[in-house]
Amino acid sequence: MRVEFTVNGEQYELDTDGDTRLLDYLRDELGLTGVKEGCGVGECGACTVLVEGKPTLSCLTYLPQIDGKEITTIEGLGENGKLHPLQEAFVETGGVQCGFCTPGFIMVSLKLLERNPDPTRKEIREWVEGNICRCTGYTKIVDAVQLAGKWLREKGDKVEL
Amino acid sequence: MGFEILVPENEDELISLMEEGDYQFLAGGTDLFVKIKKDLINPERIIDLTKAIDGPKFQVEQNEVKIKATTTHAELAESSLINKEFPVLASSAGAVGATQLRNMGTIGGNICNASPSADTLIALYLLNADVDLVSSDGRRSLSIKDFITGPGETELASGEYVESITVPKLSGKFRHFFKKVGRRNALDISVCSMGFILKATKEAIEEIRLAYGAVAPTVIRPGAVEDFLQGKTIDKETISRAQRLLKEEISPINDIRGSAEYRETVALRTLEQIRQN
Repeated sequence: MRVEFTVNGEQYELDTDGDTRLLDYLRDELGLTGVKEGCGVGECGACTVLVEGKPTLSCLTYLPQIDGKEITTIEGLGENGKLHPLQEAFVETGGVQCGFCTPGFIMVSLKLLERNPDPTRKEIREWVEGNICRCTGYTKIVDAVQLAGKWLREKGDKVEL
Repeated sequence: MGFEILVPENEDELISLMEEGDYQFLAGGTDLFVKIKKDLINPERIIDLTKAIDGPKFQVEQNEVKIKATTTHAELAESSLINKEFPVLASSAGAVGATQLRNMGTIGGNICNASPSADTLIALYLLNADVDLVSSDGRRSLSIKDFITGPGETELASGEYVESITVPKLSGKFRHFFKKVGRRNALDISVCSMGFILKATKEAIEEIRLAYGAVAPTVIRPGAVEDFLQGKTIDKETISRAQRLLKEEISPINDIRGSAEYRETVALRTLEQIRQN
């Protein structure tokens, strides 16, 4: 079938039988390697992207499912070569160690900050419970999300992509 | 591997695609694609239902609410309508998987997978929901209890799909409770899940409905326990008699997530929640 969608604002149109995961298309065809494959079965959150603004697992999503939809990956954040405040906060707090899980954590947390720019540590932990990190012990990831929330509140910015 | 995903745009296209050969349905894909990846199934044709079942997710009638089968768990958990009318459905949908899976997985998918530990099924059993089915022969509705016949087994006929779920409104004020017990909160499949809705005065239980998951081949409503509790005063003695009755109604098994004995202990213990408040 013919599918049309946008990725980070760019329009794409192609024919697909369906047998291509969004994850593979983004990585292999578009070179967006910030999207990571961890478990491949929906248990680790590393492949999280936004579909219509909603955190979605690209390892369990196939191209026909995104027809007409808007996709955002980690590469679509920030502007003019500057990091998005949430990315900046991960750098600042040391929320990144090996980095493999980081794009997934950032993509899922964006939506939390959009709903609530001042989440408690418990709310953050619950929101990211589908994402696994094997390095940080999570403490600094939670710090990063809180710090980004603080920056965004101070600037009076709404969380936008 | 190697499959084709077909995306019918409406009911007619959907029905003719079903008639053209074997198929598997796709809604959110959170179970289907995992099963394919693990080589448990190997379908050639997959029919995506999300475009054919369209329109508003919730339709409020005088005595009931119709929920489209393609409504996601996140949509249920966040809906002000569902939180107001059926808090137990909102909280069970909010307990599913994790943020991403709640954005993807649907209530229709949860029903058709018919897992004995499916979170939202607890609420649908409690609320006496009906499953609305459509095929080229017309429409029919079955109670959730009759629709689900065993683990992973339903009455869904070939050429038929679940269009919506009809939930009768409750009359009066009920306390809604849902609890799942597992090794971790996120992404885990319950060792035991339990819910109830309760209408009671200080003196006695006016109406109670109970549902248990993961302690029998399907979600169950322990009828003997419900009957016994009706009209009773909520005290320690009542609960322990109810626990003895519950023991006869559940049939937990040993599996990788927990032993039968552990499941039974947890199931009986959850009854004590009725005494809170």
